[in-house]
Amino acid sequence: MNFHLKLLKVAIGSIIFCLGAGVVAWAQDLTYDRYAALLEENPESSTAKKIASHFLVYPFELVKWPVDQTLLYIEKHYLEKKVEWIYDKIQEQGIKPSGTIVSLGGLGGGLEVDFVRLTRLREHYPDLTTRGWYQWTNDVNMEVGSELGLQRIGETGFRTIGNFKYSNRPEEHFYGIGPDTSAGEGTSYRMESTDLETLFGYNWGPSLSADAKFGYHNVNITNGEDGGRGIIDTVFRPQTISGLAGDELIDLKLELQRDTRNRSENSTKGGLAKFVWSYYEGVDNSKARYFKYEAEMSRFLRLGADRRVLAFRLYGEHNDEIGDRYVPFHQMAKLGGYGAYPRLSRTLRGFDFNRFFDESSALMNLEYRYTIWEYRDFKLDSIVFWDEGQVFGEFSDFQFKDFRESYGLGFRVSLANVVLLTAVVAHGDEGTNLYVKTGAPF
Amino acid sequence: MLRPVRRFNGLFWILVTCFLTVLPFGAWAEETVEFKKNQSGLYKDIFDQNIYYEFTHYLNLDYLCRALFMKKVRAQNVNCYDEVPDSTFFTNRHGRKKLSLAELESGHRETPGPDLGANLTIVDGKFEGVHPGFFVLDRRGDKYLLKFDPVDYIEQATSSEVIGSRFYHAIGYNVPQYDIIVFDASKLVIGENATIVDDSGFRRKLTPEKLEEYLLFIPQDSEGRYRASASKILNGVNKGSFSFYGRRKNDPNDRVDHRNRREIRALQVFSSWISNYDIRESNTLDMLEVDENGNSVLRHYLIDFNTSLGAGTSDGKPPMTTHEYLLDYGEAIKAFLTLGWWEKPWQKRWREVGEKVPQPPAVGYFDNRYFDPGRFKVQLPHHPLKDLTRADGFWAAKIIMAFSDEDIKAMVGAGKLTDPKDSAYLVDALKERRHLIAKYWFDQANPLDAFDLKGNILSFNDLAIEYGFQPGQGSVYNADVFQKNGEGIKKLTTLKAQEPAIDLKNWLTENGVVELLIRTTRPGSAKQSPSVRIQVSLKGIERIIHED
Repeated sequence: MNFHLKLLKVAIGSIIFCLGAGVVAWAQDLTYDRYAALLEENPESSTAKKIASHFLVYPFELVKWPVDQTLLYIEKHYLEKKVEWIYDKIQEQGIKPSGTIVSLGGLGGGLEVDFVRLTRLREHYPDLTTRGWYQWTNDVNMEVGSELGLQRIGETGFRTIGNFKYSNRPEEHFYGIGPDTSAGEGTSYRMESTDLETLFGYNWGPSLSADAKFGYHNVNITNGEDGGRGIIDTVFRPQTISGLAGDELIDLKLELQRDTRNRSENSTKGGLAKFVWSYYEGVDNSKARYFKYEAEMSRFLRLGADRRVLAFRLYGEHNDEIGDRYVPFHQMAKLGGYGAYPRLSRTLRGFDFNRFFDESSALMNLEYRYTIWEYRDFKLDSIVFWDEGQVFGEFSDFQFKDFRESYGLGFRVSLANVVLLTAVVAHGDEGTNLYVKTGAPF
Repeated sequence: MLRPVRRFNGLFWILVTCFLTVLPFGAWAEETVEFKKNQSGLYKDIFDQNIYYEFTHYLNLDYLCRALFMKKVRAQNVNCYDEVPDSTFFTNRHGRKKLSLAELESGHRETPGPDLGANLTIVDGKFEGVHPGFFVLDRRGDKYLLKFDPVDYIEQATSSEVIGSRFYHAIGYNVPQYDIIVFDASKLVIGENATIVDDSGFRRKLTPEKLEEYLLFIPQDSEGRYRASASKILNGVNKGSFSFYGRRKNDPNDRVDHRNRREIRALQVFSSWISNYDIRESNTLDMLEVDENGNSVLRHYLIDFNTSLGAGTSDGKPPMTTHEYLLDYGEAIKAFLTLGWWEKPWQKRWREVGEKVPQPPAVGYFDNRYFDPGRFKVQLPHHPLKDLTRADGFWAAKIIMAFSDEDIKAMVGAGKLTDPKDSAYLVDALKERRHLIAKYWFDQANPLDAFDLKGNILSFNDLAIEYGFQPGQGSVYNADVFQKNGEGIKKLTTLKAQEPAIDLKNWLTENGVVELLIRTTRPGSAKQSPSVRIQVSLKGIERIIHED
């Protein structure tokens, strides 16, 4: 009896033990419940300690909250989608707003109207171009223009376009003519120009084209608005600067262009070659008469991968007066600055825009562009560049020692290979320049 | 001192005082509001995690000191056995007791799925996130969110979503119920007041024309049917998302700063397994629910897994994801300093496949080439995930190793991929990745587990040997034995064992606690592993701490 009782106790005990062990432990049959809620006491830091360790962060918390709330509001109300949709709808109507950054303080914007789209005639006239635009950038320029023409005549490669443009540049810089001018003698002038131009061209396929242009230009020069700079005709003797009173010009221009770049911006292969010959004749009171020769060649070399590109550009310009006539200073070759629209001078980033004027210029830009970050269509490229350029009068005046160099580095943010923002630091022997801009110079 | 200077100084100190006193009180006042809805979104997450915390993190002197001295902070929600007890964030499931294959395939389940015996009534359109969808009501009155695949990538996002949910659920996280459903367009009817936010960003009434237009962008199977992932809308009150930082102080179940919760840190490891890069606060959900005792409980969920495995936002996983954060300053600086000549791992991986996803569209970009468990990155640099310690990683890795090949197959099966080759590919890749992750984290820690004291013998499992990462013979376990005397501690001896068992007969006493610091050396290497600290008494195991 006792034996049976003991056996029963052992059996019950075994069952209880097995059940217990099965609940508290898996597989290893542990003698304890390894998942028991036996938390160690981890007392929180005191408020004073939290404040002491966090006090440097508090000022930033003041920024975080409004930014967070703004972002939540944007996302909750789909504001970015609404803005994109509204922009697309406006564009569908043939109206294209745009924004420009020329410098940290030089913001601008514009509007372009495609009248063919606006009047819903694009399907009927696919090659007709009739557009007007207005572009304004603070302290840099105001431009209004219109264009009418055919991008393709019939089924041929011929095209013809006429355009009208008025621009007002209140603060064009001028430091004198020649390679040895002083940075201390900076002046500014206002340039108002009215241009009428007609073009007749032919395209041999997508990459090769030739254009003949005939134009009329009315250029008025007055004192610039840039406070602190010398007035041009008090710093320089007016008689030494041709065209200071402005000019009326007509010109005939022949242009040949071969463009094998894979993209107009952020190109990774191909290149652009362009040759322009122009004849300018002063009319009315202007005594200007000269030939203008321009040659530009750029190449984009992919270095093993799309993320590494070596880009270089050569540019040369010569303005050759005819007889005893002159080349107006405002139409001369100009070097300095970032070298992209709306500025008129070519890329020499370590110097102020329009820093060098003369009848001729020679310029070389070398850029190594490499991608350091990308996420889907967004890319951040870093650029290291070297610019070398000089201005001179006649070819006989050209001297290697007159070359001025600048170098620097920067970053470009692009979306789908359209450059949204560039920040560049450039150094030359006249100092260091910082550029924050939309677009790339080439 | 001049009067204006005095005035300025006075004003300055008043401002500083206000600043230091009002802010904490402001925060306290906010917390007293019961379960306030915590709003988050993608943009806010990007700003907070990728910009704000990245820069202000090191302004916090506490974290700065830890970073300077490379001091890791131990997870604070672990118990005395170095495990994570069940909570409103996490329930030990497969790691504790193996789920059946049917349970693994089924995942979290409240209903059998949308009732497709009748129409699904669209009540709203969902455009939040990158995969738009519809909220529908089925005949039973249950509400589901239907999400679809991108055009040309049928099965990719939907299967990833469902498979991802199965993994997180089996591991222990709270997830909603997800199912794959296939239905004819005629099943969709528009509810009376249904609206949708369309591409314009404006909310509009959903019309049959709009619905037809919308369906044009959804891929159909060979029989012209639509395939969707259907996630059941959870019961309870939506309280927004939970933050990876801080805690809700008015929630009695939320006692540990989320940053120091092991299961939140370990999302880094679990997400690396299924390549889910879209871990962010706005992909979490706090639901106020009523438990079986009628008490209100705030339960914390993970949601949105449709960028797991090979899926991305619209056309497969972008090649840089899982290798880089969205804005990865470190990687950008490396590329900048090396002038672009350093090829990032993702660039090499992408180049080697000819810059085209080599897997079928239903699978997307998912393989284990150049997969480094220690370098896996989710989309945003969450500091709690960066705070992951060796002990946290080891904990996660041993859970991952609890899944057998058959278990993985069952969970992948929930994705209902049409082509068996696609399922087989995913299963093989996940199996291989499971081993890569476990080997990495077992190497980082001392992978000893299942400590037990029977008599005087302290036994344990060496998981590296058990799972075949180390040879069965030749490992040596060196245990420094310490005696705790009141507040003091004295080293008694060093024991060596060739087998995973240590005899403590000379050291266990009636009223003392013996502490062992065990390090392992592997055959052919003199290097000692990190330690595991065990406190034992005659009563048994009292404490286990894997070195952080």
